Amino acid sequence: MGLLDGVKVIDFTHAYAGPFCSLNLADFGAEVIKVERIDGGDQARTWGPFKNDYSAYYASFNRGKKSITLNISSPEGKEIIFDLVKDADIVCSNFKAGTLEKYGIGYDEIKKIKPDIIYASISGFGTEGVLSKFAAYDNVIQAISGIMDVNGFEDKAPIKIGPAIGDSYSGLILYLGIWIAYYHRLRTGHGQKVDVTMLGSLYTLLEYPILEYTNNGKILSRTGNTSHYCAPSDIFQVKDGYIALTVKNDAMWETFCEKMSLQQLFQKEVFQSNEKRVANKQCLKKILSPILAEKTMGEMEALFADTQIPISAVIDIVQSLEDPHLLARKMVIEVNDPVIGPLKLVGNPMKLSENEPILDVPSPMLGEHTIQILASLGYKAGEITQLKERNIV
Amino acid sequence: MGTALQGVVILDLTQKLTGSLATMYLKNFGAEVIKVEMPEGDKARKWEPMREDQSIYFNYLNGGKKSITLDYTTEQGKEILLKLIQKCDVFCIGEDVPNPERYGLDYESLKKEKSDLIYAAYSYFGQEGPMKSKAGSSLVAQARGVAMDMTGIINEEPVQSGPSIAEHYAAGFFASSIVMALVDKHQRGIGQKIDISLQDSIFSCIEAAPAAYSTVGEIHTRKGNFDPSCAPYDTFETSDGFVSVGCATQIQWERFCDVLGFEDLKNDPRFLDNKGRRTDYLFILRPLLAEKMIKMEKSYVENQCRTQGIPCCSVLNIAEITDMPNTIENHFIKEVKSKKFGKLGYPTLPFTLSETPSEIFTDAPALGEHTKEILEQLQISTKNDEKE
Repeated sequence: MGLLDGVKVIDFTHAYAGPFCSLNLADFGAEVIKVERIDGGDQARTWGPFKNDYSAYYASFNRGKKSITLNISSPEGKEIIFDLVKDADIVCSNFKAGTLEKYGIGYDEIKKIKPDIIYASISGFGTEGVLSKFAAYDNVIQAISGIMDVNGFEDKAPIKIGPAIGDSYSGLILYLGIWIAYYHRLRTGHGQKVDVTMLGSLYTLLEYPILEYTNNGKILSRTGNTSHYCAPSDIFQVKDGYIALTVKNDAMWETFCEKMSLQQLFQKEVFQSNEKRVANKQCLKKILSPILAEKTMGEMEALFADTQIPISAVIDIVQSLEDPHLLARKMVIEVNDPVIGPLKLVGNPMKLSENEPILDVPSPMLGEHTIQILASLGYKAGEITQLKERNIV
Repeated sequence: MGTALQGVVILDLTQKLTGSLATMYLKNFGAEVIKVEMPEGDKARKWEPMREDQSIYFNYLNGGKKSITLDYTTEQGKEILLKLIQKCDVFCIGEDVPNPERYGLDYESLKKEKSDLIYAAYSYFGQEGPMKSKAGSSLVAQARGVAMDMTGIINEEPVQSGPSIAEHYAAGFFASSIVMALVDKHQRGIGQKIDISLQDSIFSCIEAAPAAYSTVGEIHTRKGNFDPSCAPYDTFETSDGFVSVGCATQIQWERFCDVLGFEDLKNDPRFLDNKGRRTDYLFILRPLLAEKMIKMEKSYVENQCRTQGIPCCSVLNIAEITDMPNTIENHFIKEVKSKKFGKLGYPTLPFTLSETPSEIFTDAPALGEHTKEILEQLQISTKNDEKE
């Protein structure tokens, strides 16, 4: 039995941010009905990689959902939405601010149909002010939020965080907001609106630089791969790749020097305390880099295996899919997609002992459940045919 | 109206960022959070930014929580902890207690004390799996979570994320899981164990990389600032800074060329469609665009693109985004009056609930500020327990 068994989600999300949220709702048992445009559906269906002419990108974030195609700007389409919402619990969307209101299916309208609905939405720059009307992509939100400026090396250009965190992080925050609202509804019977902005979400990731700036006027920018708190904490090139390691304190520094046979370095006054190592971290890196360049990832990991010094190869996607730890944690799963065939996906990171996530239902083909859903709303076969002919579904 | 999590009591043994951020979310929506600190206190009490020997960082993360100091590794301390557990719904424990079994603080032991306890644990690598008890750090979690390999410039070294993203993702999953377990307790009357790891959390954000490799063998690794699936989706240097722009559709590309006067590129047969633009983008289209962009001002590019519905923004630093009218209009930052520090600026929560607003609590408790009060509630005489 899933935690959200019997919970119905009307899902207007598309691309990546919103679908990341509703994916997690589906994993824990909700019936997620994805409303897609009749002309091609979710734009992520056009995003690579493709196999058998089908988007593996789409297949990654729509597992376990149902798909209905619908022209939401038509009066009949709107009627169908109202029918869908009548016994729904949650509505999700990630259009730019004001889009659903424009179609007459904003919170105020939906609330009239279903007073205790949880109406959850993600917008780009915020709901207020001049920027609210602009469209947002992940790279643009990473740029404006200050994230890009703190990412990379001080003497080089700002760098985007590779994965589209502007999307997945705001999706995660929406997920949290929905759960708080759902708990409240279970206890009081009241629904409400949950609002998340991509910009607001990414901005809070910078809690430390924000607190430094607003309270001390200090502007922090990118500082590469080192840490403000301890040294050496860095990424080093080794023979066959890169290695990340963190020497957190003086005891670890002693162990590090001992294991690396660097007694002379350990004797050096300028590195004798963590404070001194942090102050001289660039110099320390110059000394350590050529020494580590002679090692392999495996040698380094083995050398420190019995110590408390955190160390790991920087693993790439190929290694991760075979990583025994990620496999043991069911973080790499395989789904058999009807079009693509078997493909590997990320599992669910929320491990609750009494709630196994559902991970084996593939993503729906465009409009796969249109007829079934309309029939469940009481539409007759003839009516459905007519709606199809008129391009409403 | 009312606060969504009113009546929920959380006993929080975590320190630093991940756990405290998660319980901050829950506190701000009405839960009661009791921090249990070892006599030396949460490590974040010494984290920058500091003022007069006190941490603004700690103050921000722990506003409105209560603090009891307790050495739960001693028999007497443990006894008090078990009494406290009887009064709470959720027990949070972090990576600072790497072997909770040693102190009888594992789920199986505590479940015997309180059968419907929600036991929420976070750690670098999780409670199960071969890496379970390995030493971890924020950097190493990123390295093992693949996101690091995906960040940086092609053929250059991988780059750690400037913000603590593993901690933030883990905090989001941790707080969500706690509310999920509260729902389950409300409906079925049961408790359960939650196991969140920083590695799993960061691995969850790597987008379609597993699908790309397992279907067509495409390896998603670091690619700088551009996106290989559409072009130009990139960041460029202008005469006065950097600007990011995203053209993901044909119409956006055409309007982009029109509005910036790139007629030659628009008419160039190589760039007529997205396929052509993304073919060897880094070596063909990118240099041509870079040469043009370096001569323009970033605000010009931004304004021109926006009028055409093309997502575009200058790369702002922390001061520029913080001082922007949009930040204030959307309440991304809030001024609070702290008893300890005077006026402070805090980032607000990244989500709002219309019926059950969140409250920002200005001040964190002093170390052990509520020890006496809490012990009295447990009817433990404080005279005998002064060392706690």
